[in-house]
Amino acid sequence: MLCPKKMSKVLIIGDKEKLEDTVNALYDLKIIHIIDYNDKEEGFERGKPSTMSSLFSEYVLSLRALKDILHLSSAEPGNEIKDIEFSLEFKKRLEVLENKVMEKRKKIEDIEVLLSDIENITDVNDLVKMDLSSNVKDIMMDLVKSKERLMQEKKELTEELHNINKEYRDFIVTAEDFLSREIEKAETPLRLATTDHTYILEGWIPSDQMEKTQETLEKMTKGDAQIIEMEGEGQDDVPVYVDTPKPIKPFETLVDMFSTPNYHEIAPTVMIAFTFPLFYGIMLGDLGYGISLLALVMFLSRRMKTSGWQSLLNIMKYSSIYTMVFGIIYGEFFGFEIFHDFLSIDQIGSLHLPLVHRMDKIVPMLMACAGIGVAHITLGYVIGFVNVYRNKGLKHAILEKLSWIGILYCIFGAILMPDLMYPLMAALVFFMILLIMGEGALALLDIFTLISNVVSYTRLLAIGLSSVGIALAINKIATDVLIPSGIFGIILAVLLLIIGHTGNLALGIIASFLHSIRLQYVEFFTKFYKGGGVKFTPLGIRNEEV
Amino acid sequence: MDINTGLIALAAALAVGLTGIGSAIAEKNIGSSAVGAIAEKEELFGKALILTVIPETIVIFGLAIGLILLFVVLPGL
Repeated sequence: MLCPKKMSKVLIIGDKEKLEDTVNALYDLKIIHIIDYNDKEEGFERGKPSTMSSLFSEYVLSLRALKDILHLSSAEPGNEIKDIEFSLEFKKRLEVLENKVMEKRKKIEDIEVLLSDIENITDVNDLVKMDLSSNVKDIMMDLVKSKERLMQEKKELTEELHNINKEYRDFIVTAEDFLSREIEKAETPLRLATTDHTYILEGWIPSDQMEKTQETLEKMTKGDAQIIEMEGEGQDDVPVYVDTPKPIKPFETLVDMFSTPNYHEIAPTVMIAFTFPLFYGIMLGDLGYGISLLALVMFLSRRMKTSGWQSLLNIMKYSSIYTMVFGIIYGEFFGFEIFHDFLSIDQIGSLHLPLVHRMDKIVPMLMACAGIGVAHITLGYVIGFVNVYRNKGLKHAILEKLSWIGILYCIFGAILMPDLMYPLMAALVFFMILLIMGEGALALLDIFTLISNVVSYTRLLAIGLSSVGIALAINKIATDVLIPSGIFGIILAVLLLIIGHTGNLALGIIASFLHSIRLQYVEFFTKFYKGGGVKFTPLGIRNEEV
Repeated sequence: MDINTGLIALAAALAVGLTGIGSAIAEKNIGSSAVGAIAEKEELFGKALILTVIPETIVIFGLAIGLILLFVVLPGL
């Protein structure tokens, strides 16, 4: 969950005649990340794709064109076909279908051309050019009749197209999916090194899947393909696969947007899964906005099906729940105070409600935000410490990361507890010396960056306040000015409330997302994250959308 | 309310506003180059983002001065 999965480098060697069996077996396992052969060794050359691939490519082209015309692009294939009889029957069926569709489409296009010609007639001269008599009334009747007739024909043809749709839909979609996969398998030899009679396939397999792969290969190729595990850790370009649990999976998109994790470091996906929605909630913090956001996300997740949108919408679902929680803590509902205005309770027992009133308690909130900043940055340095410890040893870890933690706490301790100024200054000098030993003298300039990073967390309060301010202004205008002034005022007030709060909601959603993600990337990641890894893309999984 | 309060408020506004302008002028070219670089090569997103927000420290210092003026100097008058 925290670290990328352990990978072993393997070499698969076998007889070129049996290459197809091996590729089929590996494709179904969805387990090996192939290292493409770069054509640089003497005596080896790239493999040739199997002969069926050009035929398949033609079919796939016609199938994709059909899919487009009949608007099937987002349909899911029904059942996976494992084998289609590529007899003449398949080819004929495909051709017949194609011809029917193309015919109808051409007719529709011709009709549309005629219709637009008729629309463009503005002058008797045009009619003469079209070879018709110049008796205007006759012509008008003719034209109106033919226009009606043509539109009727167009309607019928479109319906027929629609009916073809239902009949052949499954066939088109399943065939296209099956053939695309076959083409991928058929083009795999292009990525391998071959000689006259053998092939060599270099790749990475997760270490715990080695046995299963060996067994399956033995079975499918009847012992022909040999799989050899290559020793040697610490190589670069090891593909990275992080096994995140299902609720946290959407946040991988956020990490990958910055950079895929390195093989040698901890993946920050779990940390982001907790802190990103938290910051979002602190900033947007309004019960009404949270509910609206959740409704919007639910609505969109039915319409947008691509995986990029789906993971984004899942992230927003978590964020909206945190927004609602903080809305209750701040006691805000579309800018109105829940506890004071709606429920008229100002305290329960000795607990003042709301727990935190953003407009009143600015300075304590500023301190709290700075505190969150210090905690978050400390977490970043701790993760960096673990990373450096695992890769370079304890001494480097202390010199490079522990020194920063020390400097951070010395500076903020000096601000908070001025009495301990002298011991803290001494400790600060000590940590600065450690830092110079670890990263060089210029690293001292980064101390200002560190202070700036901590202060940067006050944006959690600032963005929230601006959103609260706008909502407050809208509410005040609506309730104090417009509602008392008669029926016309009430209508205006409702209009103002709706438009104003929609605008504020849109602003709040986008701004909170941006600033929350920027806090993660710029303040958190720079303390420990290197990135630059290669994502694990095994043979058999197609990256259809980027 | 005397003139000192007004002057302090004006000073805080200038501190935040002018540093904002300075930071914007600094980041405008970096931002457009960053977008151009990312359009060509997706992996540069992280570095480009960090380089774009480096001048942010200028406006943070301005904000700090503004806050000190409003919350430390003003009550102490």
